[in-house]
Amino acid sequence: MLTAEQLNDLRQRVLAKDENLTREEIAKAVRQMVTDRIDSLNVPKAKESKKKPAKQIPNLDDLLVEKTIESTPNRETPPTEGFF
Amino acid sequence: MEPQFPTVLTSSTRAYHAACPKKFFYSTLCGLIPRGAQANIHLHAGGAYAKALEATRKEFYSTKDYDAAISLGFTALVKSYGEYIPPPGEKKTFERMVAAFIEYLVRFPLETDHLKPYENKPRVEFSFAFEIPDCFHPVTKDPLLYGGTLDVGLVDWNGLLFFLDDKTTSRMGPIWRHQWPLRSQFTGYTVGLTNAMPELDIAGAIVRGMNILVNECQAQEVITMRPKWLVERWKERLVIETKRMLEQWHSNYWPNLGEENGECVRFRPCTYHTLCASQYPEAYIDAEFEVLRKNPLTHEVERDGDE
Repeated sequence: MLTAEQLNDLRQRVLAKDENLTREEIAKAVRQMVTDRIDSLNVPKAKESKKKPAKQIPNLDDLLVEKTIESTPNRETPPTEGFF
Repeated sequence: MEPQFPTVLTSSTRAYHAACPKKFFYSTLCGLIPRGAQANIHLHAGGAYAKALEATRKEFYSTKDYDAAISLGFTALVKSYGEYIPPPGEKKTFERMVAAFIEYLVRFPLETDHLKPYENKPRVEFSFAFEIPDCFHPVTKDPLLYGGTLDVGLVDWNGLLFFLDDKTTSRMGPIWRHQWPLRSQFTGYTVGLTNAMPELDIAGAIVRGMNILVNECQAQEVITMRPKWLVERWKERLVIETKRMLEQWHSNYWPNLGEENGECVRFRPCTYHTLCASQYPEAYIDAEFEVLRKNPLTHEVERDGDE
């Protein structure tokens, strides 16, 4: 892995026309960056689960009772209110 | 500030006029640029990226030496980017441009790239200009020209000839790819290339975009066609729009259409926002702007006061 400092050092050496800097050295650094990038693609990203924790399933008898209550029409409000 | 009608229209000058005739007046006819304007980060960084790819492809397709190609590409990127320090908050830093170059090598590996350079020439650089039919310069009476300078690669894709343009962006939303099929600049390139080299049958443009983000880079490739009917429609519009520019020159009427179509502030305020927002724009011109005219074919720059 090429650090930011190493990358900047390479940049400065290129700009300064460092005679000791060879093509092979630059190619090695670039190859390393390419390899690092390919490796990073192969590593599966850890995804944070956004799913809410599964709700505890209540007792089946309790569910039936809730359903019965929900489906009972509100007797205090006539169903035709608002139409006349 | 003496307005001068250009001798050569380009895709940029057409875009200015289409956006707002007043913008065309200030930018193209008057040559006004903000004083002390710094190099545009997008042009600077994009230019460095293009130079890196050009050097890489040129070396690789002539020698097949991968190491030499990537070494020369990196060196070209460094030299072109130089010591430039981007404005705070800009994404196109040196490190990110290197990351973009690396991403290109990963996404479009040289050895297996499905786009092969036409006649093994990785890039072509040439200027073109052609006469706009029935349109003449209002002062010299010479035929008006449409022109531009290309620095693109010609590539073979499935037996068809395309030109390849590499773009960098810091925003690549889902609509990014939709801007290229009707891009006037590319249709103009098609006409220019076809005029200059009639033996070539240019099918269209391929755009490789690199989205430069803070933590990653994303690449997209868009293949767009330039069928004859589209090219003919572009040519027809070029003549009609040029005649409209000439009419406006003769009547000296440059409407501020940006006020209607939103060009006054598109992402950021227009360069000439201060002038249009003032009852007396002349008061701001000398203080905030200087005159610079650029020849689109030779790239020669002439500043006000140059001999």
